[in-house]
Amino acid sequence: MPAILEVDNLVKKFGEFEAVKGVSFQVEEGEVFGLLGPNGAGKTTTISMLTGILAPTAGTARIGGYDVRTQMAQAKTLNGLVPQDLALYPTLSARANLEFFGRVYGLKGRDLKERVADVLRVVSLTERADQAIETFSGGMKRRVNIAAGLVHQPRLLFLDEPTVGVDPQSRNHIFESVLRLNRERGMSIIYTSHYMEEVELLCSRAAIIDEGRIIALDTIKNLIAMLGGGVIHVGVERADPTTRDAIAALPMVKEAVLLAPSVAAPPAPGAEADLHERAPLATGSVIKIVTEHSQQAVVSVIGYLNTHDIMLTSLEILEPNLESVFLHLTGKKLRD
Amino acid sequence: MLIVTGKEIQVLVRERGALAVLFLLPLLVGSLYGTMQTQMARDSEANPIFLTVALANLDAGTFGVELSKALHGISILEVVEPETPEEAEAIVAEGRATAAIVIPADFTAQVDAYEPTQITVILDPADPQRAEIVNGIMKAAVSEVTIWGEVQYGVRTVLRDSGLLDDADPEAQRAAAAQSLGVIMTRINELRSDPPIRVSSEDLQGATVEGGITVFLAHMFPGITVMFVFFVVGVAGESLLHEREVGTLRRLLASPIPKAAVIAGKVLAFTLLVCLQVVVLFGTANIAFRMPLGRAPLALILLTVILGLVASALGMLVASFSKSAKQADSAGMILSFVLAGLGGAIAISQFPLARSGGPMATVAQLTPHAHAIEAYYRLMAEKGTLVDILPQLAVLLGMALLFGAIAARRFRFE
Ligand SMILES: Nc1ncnc2c1ncn2[C@@H]1O[C@H](COP(=O)(O)OP(=O)(O)OP(=O)(O)O)[C@@H](O)[C@H]1O
Ligand SMILES: [Mg+2]
Repeated sequence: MPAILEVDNLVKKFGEFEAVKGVSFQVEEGEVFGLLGPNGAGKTTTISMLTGILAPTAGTARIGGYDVRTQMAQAKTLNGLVPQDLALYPTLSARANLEFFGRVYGLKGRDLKERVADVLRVVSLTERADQAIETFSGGMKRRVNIAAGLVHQPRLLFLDEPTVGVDPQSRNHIFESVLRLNRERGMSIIYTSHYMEEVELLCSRAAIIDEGRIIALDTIKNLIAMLGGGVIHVGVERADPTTRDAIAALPMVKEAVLLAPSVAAPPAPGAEADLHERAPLATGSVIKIVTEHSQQAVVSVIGYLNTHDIMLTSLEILEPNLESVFLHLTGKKLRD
Repeated sequence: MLIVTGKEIQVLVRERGALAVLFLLPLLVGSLYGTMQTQMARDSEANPIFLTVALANLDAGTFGVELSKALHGISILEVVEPETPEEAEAIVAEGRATAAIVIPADFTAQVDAYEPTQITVILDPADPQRAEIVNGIMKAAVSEVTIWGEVQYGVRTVLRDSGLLDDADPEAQRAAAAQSLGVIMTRINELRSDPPIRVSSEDLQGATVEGGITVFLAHMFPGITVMFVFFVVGVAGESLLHEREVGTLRRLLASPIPKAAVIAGKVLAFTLLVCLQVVVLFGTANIAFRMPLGRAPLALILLTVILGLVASALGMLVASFSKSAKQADSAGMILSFVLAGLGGAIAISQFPLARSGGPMATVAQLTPHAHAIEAYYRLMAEKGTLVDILPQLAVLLGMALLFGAIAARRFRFE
């Protein structure tokens, strides 16, 4: 399949600060591609360079063969952008907003009317079309925000965190619309999020981006397979290389790593350890254990700690999902 | 670009607060001043400027009759017509009239012959102020008649010199002359409906009445209007930054329309808003307070459009220096007050501040306000034409371009 988008070593500097540090990936025609990363990873900045909002500091990209550095005008006609913020005129009706953004892409007359009616159907807002956006709920606004990026029938749609601040119902609705656009209209989609489950659900492939770099890029299946049988984090009172090596030698354990003290943040004074959320980061020593089978490995690890009188302070079994992959790759959580 | 303008107008129509500031507030202030002014005018009518003149017209010819008609036609004159010059003089002496006017019996004949002639005006020395007014009126009225005489003389000369009518009999010659004269007379009568007669006087309150144009209408109302026009600065600046904050600007940047069109579209929308503002304000003042609009509508429109451009461009400039929409709004507000003050938009004076000379006038010249007010004054109070306001238009256009250029350089779309 031909690539609709080829990103080649894109760099963006804001003054001294390098927000995007040489990002490369390709998106095939008809693919839903995920860009996954925590706040400030550089997702929006990357999209801005691909949509002509920001000029790249270095590197380039081709959209449908058009170079974004020299042929942005042509590339723009293929692009559709759904910005992270609700980029709409709140006092205007949904229809007026959509008509305006259609006109901006050169649509007019009956063509425009039909396209607007069509995208209103896609986001199921035909009934409320003539009411001002400011009277809408958060979820409905998000839907109009998406529709505004679709009026001109782009071949490549950039969805920048389209579900932020959305109720579950609207969220499901947005997922359905995205999948339908992709399946029924063959639209290629770049989906940005810091919600793993969304990317898992919607995308065939994803790039995990952190601090301006792509740290992993593969199909969702392969990314999750990196975790093997699962990863567990064991918090202990004290841990040294001997303990680590002993644990690594236990059955069902593939690998054991002592996490750096900086990764394991000190607990807030007096803070009670919450086993699920905070525990792995709450103590000075955390051993990350890559297993062949997480449940069985947990049993043997606990057995070992008991017999050696090492007090267990926390235990976390990472689900085999992208969230865990990110934690595995960076030692950081995607969201705080 | 027009697409952006269209959208901007849709958005603006819903900005009730801004519209109230731009339209209702100036209407309110204007009406307040206007009513005060009308009241003052009425007061001065109550202490009548009415003048009584005694007119002795000894000339039964065309010009004598015309002059008499012209005098009767002047609203502030009460004309009594005694039979003889002596009677007229007596009326003045008794203080029953401010002046006596004597039109000599050979007045028409003399004018016709293009010979000098004289109208005697006998003034009441006890009331020099009013007497002066009558003098002024007479000069104007007589000049109208003499123009007419000149024209008639001219027509005859032309006809004679052209040799066209050399062979015609005197009867036909007179007919031809009369016909040409008819055309000219019509023209002169038209002039009368917009009379070239000006009455200058100071009334008791000190407000100058000049051919019916008051200080307020000729200077202060346009001043107020210009001040409120510049309130658009804050609104325009806020609107641009709001788009950046909300993110619609990002959408526009990602679309195929050029950056410049986004800004130009906005400037055009706000220019149209200013035009509408001026139309509404001047229209109201014209209808409610009979503010004169001058005789050069095209120049008036052009001036207003350029004024709109300056104000909108200044709005973009403010936006390019502001961090947030809120900041642009307040900066625009403050700026529009300061400039209005410096530019003399709220000065209670007879003439534009910039004409007064001195350091304040020099400072005023730095504001677009002063130039706009000067130009409106020239058009509306002094009945100037496009040529008279070309310097102001040039300065205003230059300011618009300068503001626009700096804004374009400085503004961060991101
Ligand atoms: N115009 C700018 N000037 C300076 N720094 C910027 C600018 N835009 C973004 N940055 C910085 O670049 C980094 C990447 O920002 P970006 O918005 O691309 O992140 P993101 O992955 O989209 O994050 P989020 O999930 O919060 O939207 C951040 O540290 C941000 O502060
Ligand atoms: Mg972002």
